Amino acid sequence: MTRTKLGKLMIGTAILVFVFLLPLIISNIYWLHVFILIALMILVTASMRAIYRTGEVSLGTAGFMLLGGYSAALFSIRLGLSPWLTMLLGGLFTAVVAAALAYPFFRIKGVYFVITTLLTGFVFLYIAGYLTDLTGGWPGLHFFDLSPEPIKIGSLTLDFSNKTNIPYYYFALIFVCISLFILYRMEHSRIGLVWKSIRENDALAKSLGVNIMAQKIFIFVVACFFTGLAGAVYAFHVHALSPTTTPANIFHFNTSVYCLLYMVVGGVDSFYGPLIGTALFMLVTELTRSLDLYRPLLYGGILILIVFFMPKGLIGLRQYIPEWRKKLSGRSKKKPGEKSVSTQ
Amino acid sequence: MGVTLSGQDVIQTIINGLCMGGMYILIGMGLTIILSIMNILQFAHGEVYMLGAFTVYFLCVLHGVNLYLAVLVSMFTTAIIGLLIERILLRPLKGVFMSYVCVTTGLSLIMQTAVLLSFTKGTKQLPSLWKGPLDVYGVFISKERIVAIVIALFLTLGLYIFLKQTKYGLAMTASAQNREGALMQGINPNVMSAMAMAIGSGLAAVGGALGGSIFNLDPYMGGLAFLKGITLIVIGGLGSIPGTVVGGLILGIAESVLALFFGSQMGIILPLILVIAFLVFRPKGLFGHD
Amino acid sequence: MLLEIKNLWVNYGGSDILKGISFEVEEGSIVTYLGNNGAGKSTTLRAICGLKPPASGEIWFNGKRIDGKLPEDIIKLGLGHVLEGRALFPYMSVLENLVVGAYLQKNRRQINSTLEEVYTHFPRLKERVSQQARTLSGGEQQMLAIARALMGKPKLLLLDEPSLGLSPLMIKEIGKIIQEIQKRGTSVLLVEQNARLALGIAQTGYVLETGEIVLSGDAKILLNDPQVKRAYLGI
Repeated sequence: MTRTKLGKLMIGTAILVFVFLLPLIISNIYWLHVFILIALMILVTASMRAIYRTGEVSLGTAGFMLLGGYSAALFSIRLGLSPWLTMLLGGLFTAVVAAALAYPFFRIKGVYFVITTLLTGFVFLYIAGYLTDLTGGWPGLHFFDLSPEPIKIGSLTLDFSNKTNIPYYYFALIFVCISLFILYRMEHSRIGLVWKSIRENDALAKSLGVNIMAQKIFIFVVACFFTGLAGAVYAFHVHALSPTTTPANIFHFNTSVYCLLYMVVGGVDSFYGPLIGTALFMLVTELTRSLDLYRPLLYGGILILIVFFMPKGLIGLRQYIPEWRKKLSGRSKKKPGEKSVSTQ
Repeated sequence: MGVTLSGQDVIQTIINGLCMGGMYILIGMGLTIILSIMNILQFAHGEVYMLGAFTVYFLCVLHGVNLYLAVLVSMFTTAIIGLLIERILLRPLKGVFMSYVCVTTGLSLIMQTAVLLSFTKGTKQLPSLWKGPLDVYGVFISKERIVAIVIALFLTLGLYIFLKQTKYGLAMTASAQNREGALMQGINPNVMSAMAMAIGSGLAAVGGALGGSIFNLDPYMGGLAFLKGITLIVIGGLGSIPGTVVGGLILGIAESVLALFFGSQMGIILPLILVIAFLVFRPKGLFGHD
Repeated sequence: MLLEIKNLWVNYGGSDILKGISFEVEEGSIVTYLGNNGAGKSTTLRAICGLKPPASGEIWFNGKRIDGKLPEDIIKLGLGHVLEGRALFPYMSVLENLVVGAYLQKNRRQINSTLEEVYTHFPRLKERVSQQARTLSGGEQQMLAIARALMGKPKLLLLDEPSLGLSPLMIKEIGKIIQEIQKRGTSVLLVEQNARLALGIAQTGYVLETGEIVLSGDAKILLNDPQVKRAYLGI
């Protein structure tokens, strides 16, 4: 097993190095913008997966991004605070709201929980739209001259106003890496525990003194914290926020569905699943801009196909090849969907 | 506020409320049947509603078929589509939660885009069910809304009779109330699921046709319809047809009344608030069964 | 032989609940299946009627092999099952519950005559025909559950702990009813914790302990068996 671990480590390091050196290869401002978005969405999808691993599906992702983005922007605009501070505040604000909502929400079972998170996303959109005095209402917020202040390192001044996107790219990258690392550590401690106890038997875990509900809520709050942070970093990148309920808006419900897609396609069983899924899809989206019109149809179709033919996602790709070979040649008795999307 | 109301306004508001309520009931009944029998929340149910409306558009506006005939045909074709969805997409999933969330959400995206691409741009409308106002002692009532109310009433009664008086209807009711108990009477759960999807989708299609006639059509109308359906389930209580009916009437009339004072945005805000409030404080709904 | 179980193994979540049990039910008899909680009694019934496919072993009903088949197909062969907890349709009336019990019956007239037959077994249900099932008393609910199963005219009736939660008087009545059912030609596999009732009316008995059959034989003999007396009759 050490060989596989070494191999994984090498691949991981190679990817990290590549990602850090990327701006030297592609310094096109638009593409760097895309990469920043990819990084942020990877974090958001990973957070969504963390919640999923506690046994709940949350489709409120977009809504929490909105919370983070708006609160960060408003803290800066109304209170004149530095964006470096308000981005963090945005994340914290989202976490607080998530915590407040978590206690009533987590009492709701099963599919109704999903509905609740879905609707919560919409509620946030509408609140942002209606509180015109506070949030700028339906036209949204624009703050093109507001950016995180430049940082001086030696004789180098890093400008985060997105003139070149390069410093912002590194900022987003480092931010996401640290956040992912924290999530990863949580995965192997708390989340893993909750996941295991849900699989085995709630009652058994309870008898061991594990308060599942508290763990679930904690993980939910942390996930929302990161989602909100991502929203805040996004806000100071694009300098504009909008609560309109069109699919084009990043804070629209469709984004949550896309995150679901990235997560499922990448593979829910592995921590790296969302990373692969998100990166792959967002890159493909960029490279196939001409297909924008058909995109929901294609992605919806892919989501369905994945459930039927690759429930373990791309991560589990290796496991499918023997099974597909069996299906094509002989007669395999397995029915699609029998492997649930969440096994192990 | 200072809104002065005439008798005309009051009557109109009530009629509007009943009409909207009727449409919501058509959506909600399907959703509650599907949920209580299959244990699945059909995320693409709003799109089925939308598909029903566009089928009528296709038949009636684009090919000159009589409106009422088109609605009837749409009801059947959409019911068949519901059957196909159940057989091909849902049955193989064996009830795995995450799978059907993914499949039905994916399906809704597909249906939205497919319809968007199949028809021209711009808002459309179906011809009126019955143009003009009805003069009742000096009060003008919209005839088409009366027709909508009658249609919704008729279908609701029809469904109720089906569920209470026919063998399959009773079997469906039984399956919703106790799945294993129903299995032990020899009831085939796949047949029940198929019927649930067929009936639910057919009803939604009629709802869509009504919506498309009284208001208008667009490929994204399903999202709001789905929200209304969910509101009914949550207010009325899962598995209860009377609950859905009551919930629909409450929602319809409440929206209509509040719209007088707060504008038409109430149509979105009110359901959102109601759903979340009920889920948090009274998850069983008003008449909740299971 | 109406029902034959051969070396049945049933597994739940990684652990073996039934470990190779074998027994049989002769046509026209009442067979009882005793054991404490967790022994695997309900699991056996669930395996027979198809709710839980066995890991291995064979189940033969009326000459046909039924293990691994779907419940709706097995019930069609003439099996009736009164589930643990009764599984009534709570918001449906007594009559509606009974009608659903006759789901597989085709002939309208026959259904009506079966209904009359059932009412003679359970006159109390006839009085409460339009009451919702959930408003009935415990004893009445049990009767409704049995009556509903009888509407399907089963050859073999599986009864899962019918005495649970009933008063001693009701338990006696249930015992009488089960014997009446046998007289009318339906065989019964009675799962019970109440050994006195069960062995009192059955011909054959099996005792299940943690997934294995530890005792079997003529019911009257088992009734006097010291092991049985100690463990299940509280003597």
